[in-house]
Amino acid sequence: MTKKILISLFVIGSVLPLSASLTYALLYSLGLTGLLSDGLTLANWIQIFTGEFFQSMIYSVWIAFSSAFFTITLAMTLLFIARKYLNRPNVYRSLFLPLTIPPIVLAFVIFQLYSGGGILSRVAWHLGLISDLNQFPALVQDPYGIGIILAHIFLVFPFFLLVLLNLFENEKLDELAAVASTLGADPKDIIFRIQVPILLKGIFPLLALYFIFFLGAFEIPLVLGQSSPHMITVLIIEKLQRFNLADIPVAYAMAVWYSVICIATISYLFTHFKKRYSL
Amino acid sequence: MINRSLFIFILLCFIIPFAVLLYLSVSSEWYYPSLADHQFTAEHWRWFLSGGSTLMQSAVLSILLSVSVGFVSTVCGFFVSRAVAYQTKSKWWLLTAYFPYVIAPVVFAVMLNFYFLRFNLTGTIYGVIIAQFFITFPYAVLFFFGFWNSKIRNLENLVATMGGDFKVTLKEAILPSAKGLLAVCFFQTYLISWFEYGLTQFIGVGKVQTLTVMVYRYISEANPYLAALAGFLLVIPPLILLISNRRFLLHKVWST
Repeated sequence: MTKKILISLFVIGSVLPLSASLTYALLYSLGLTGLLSDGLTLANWIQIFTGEFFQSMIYSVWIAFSSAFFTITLAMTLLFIARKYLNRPNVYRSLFLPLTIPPIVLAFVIFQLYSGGGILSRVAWHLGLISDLNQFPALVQDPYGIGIILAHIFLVFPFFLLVLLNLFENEKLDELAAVASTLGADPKDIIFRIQVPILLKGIFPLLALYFIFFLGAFEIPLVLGQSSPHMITVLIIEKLQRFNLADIPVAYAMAVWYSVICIATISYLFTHFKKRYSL
Repeated sequence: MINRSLFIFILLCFIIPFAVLLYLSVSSEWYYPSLADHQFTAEHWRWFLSGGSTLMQSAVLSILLSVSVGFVSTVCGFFVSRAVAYQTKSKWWLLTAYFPYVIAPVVFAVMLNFYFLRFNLTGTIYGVIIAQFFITFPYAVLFFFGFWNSKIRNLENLVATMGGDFKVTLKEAILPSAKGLLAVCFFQTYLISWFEYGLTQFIGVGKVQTLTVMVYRYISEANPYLAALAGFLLVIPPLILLISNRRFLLHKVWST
């Protein structure tokens, strides 16, 4: 009896909220419920693949892809340059520092550092490199999302480095390198044809997850993003909180689309990588 | 030498955010292009420490909210994960627990809001606690799922064979083994709640003013000094946890 209650609590606390909210959002996006509902329609779904919503999707994918790419590249580079040094207790411990900063706070700090009126711009002014804050290059609220990508990298790359350090040990890549060297492989081949592919394969599930996290980032793009196009989450919130009621079903369609991508990705990772990498 | 320089550079990069927060929190009238020749003041900190400040109220609210979410999620997650591990055979049960945690909290909040409005939970502290619970509870279930292995099951059976009921099993066998994990889970769910902004802002509609909400409010009001102060307050608990035990910070569920 108690066990049934506990399983019910699992359903109520975990399964029900998401399924109920997804159902409502889907019905709203299909015109079957809500203030302006007038029967089944796919118009809202078609709209997310055109104009502002589509631009927002492309922009979000660009940000997520760039953040993931530069994060893994930086982490991998540091791993190969300074792995033994990074394993020292004090150095290893310092890699945890960025994990203590909430995204909204980091976004604020990045803004204070890289904006036109920020610390770097002031340093450049004092060094005589610029004479006016408008001469400082746009690194935040810029069209390419440089500030957002920088914040994502800062927030996540130490965690990736920690995972890669553990993976390097667990996969015994030093021993593999020694074997390959004995068989005549040169150092470049050992890194790029043996160690990097193994590490990439090992970290792929995490990388895919972080791609999804970056895609759904909210606080950092809210502070560091430009006014248009927005990241998906920022656009959804903006459309829901503005006064144009016609935008609400499209915002719900976008929320459902994003949720389905998340669910599909995690289902794929769960079924394909669960055993091998204890996801 | 290169390694040492590299480390110093990385460490500097890591320390800069904390330094910026502290620097701005004691600054005032920091106009362009001033770097350090502006006015420094302890006024913001004094205002915060004077009991009645809104920021102090936010800090207390944030602590209470995160402790509640962390505690309820850990306790519920612990017992529910046991039931899920022992009673369900299909791995799809476990998979469903990943979904709420992976979807961006703010998108989840958007879709949930209709029900929260129906039950008059929008704009209330209870509403925010429940909404955050919907994320931290599945996380806690996933966190503890691996704990219920054959070793623990054998231990439970051993106590049962010797005549112990569930209370005794819990007290003498399960809790001593799970003590460390319970602490880690509590602090991790505490931090998920402590860091949360989007969902809190959307469900709380600005009425539930946690520290993260205040940081954004001060940013919007172009008040970098108080935003920095609120931001600094936000990094203190995670820093304490890092110093005491770094395991509290790592999200074990996702580590490879």
